[in-house]
Amino acid sequence: MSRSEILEKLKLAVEEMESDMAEEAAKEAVAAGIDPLVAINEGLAAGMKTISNLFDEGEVFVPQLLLAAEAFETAVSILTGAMSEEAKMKASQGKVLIHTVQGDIHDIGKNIVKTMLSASGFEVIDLGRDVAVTEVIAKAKELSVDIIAGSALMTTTMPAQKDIIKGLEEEGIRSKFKCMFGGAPVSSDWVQKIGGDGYSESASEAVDKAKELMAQVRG
Amino acid sequence: MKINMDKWAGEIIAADDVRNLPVLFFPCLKLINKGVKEVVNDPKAHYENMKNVIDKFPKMIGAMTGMDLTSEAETFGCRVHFSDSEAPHVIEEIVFDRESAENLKVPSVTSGRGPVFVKAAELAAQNITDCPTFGGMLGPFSLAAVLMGLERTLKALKKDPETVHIILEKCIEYSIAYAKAYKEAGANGVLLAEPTAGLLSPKQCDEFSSYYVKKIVDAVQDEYFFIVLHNCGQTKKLVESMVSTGAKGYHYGNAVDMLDIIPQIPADYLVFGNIDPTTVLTEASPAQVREATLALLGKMKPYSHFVLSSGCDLPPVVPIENLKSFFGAMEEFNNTK
Repeated sequence: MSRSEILEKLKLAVEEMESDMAEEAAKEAVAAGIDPLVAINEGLAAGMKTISNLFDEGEVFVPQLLLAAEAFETAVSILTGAMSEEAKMKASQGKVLIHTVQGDIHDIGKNIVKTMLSASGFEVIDLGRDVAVTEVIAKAKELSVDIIAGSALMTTTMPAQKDIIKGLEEEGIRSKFKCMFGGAPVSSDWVQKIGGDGYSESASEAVDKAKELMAQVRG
Repeated sequence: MKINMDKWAGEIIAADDVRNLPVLFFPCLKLINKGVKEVVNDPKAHYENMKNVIDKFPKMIGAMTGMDLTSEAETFGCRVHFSDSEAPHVIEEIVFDRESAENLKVPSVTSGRGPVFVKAAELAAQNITDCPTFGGMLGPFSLAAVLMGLERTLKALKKDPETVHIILEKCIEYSIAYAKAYKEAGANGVLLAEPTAGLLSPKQCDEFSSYYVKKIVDAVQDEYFFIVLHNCGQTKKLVESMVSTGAKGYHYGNAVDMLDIIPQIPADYLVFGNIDPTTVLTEASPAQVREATLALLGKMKPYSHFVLSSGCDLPPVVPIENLKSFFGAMEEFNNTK
């Protein structure tokens, strides 16, 4: 297969939500010596953009988005397996630590945001769901992330987002991280009130907000 | 108390004034010093709060059991986290693949905490006689997604739909029995919460939700027992699918504009919605609640089958002052019509 055919196959695998096709195409890309970043950006991410646009337009729904994300991640893990750590860092749009807040087990929205951020070139570390505030802060420090992203789907778990800000302030490290929050009951007013840096209502908006925050980080 | 619910709905539609039926239970617990844990485990305490809600807000057009949404999954075998400050939530799924779906046993409707809500509804039906009593239940697709895990279920719709259907058949067997238990206890209807179906495409909603909801409707709905189908997700494209179930009432959340929804629903069915439970009813000031409520009522004026409501279940933290403002705004609107 030619280079352009392989890239097209990567794109189609995501658009068609076919993990097997994505795996096959990723292996073909590695075998063909295609730069992993090119394969991700011009192949997979292009497919994810199609799906994401259709999702925002209400033509594609969450089940399809999840399957497209699965195809994306299947291929990415093969492609980035061939990259050095230095190359990964250089290519990264920024490092994001994402989680569903303490006491909350809802993670669909967080998983969609994770995929969109990865598709846009961010390095995303996912701590999972119901993550203690102390663990979020400890991991943020350990991994030297740029952005802490937290999702809450219940009004009763939203305060954990405030606790993260408070915890960072008490350790005197608030300025080291950008903090963005989301989730069904969360609003921009709430995030502003608790001293957060960013709020987004949708997954694609989360990507835009993350890019905006990284522009502030990098000056 | 037996009520002709077709007549009840007809009177609402024919009336000049707007009526109100928020999904109101938990915020009023603070008025009687009870916690969530007690009322979701004790039928008498549960009924006590149902009565408390009606006494405090007599303009409610129905008494409702609390929206627990975990008792069904718990009865199937899921673990549940209880707290006094929030509604319970399921901790983990119990179905992982075809084998565990096939091995899943359908529990008896007399086991678990389902009887708590049925008994509470029975007490309400006997003692709250100037309005109907509604029991609360989780819809079949939403229950299946809890049992199997949301992400696994959504992916399985394409990868392994047969497994999802196996679970749905078991969910529906339990759900029909649960709805019948409410009916036999004297409740006048059920609020069937199917929020997870809001994540589906119209075709998937038809196949994995509405097809099964219709089975519940066909099994129990008649002129004395009314099903209200609730979906607080992105439902603009799902209305046709929801209406295909034949339920006589439809309840929507704040993710949609009611003006996009109500024209799709026949004028002899009731349509409920959709003041934001969080940004408005929990966090806003009473003045802002009034403003938002009046704005909604103003734009829904042409629709006589509209019933004011909250977009979803109201959490315990909703201030009573905001609820007073919510009901007050409805009165103000009705008095100036």
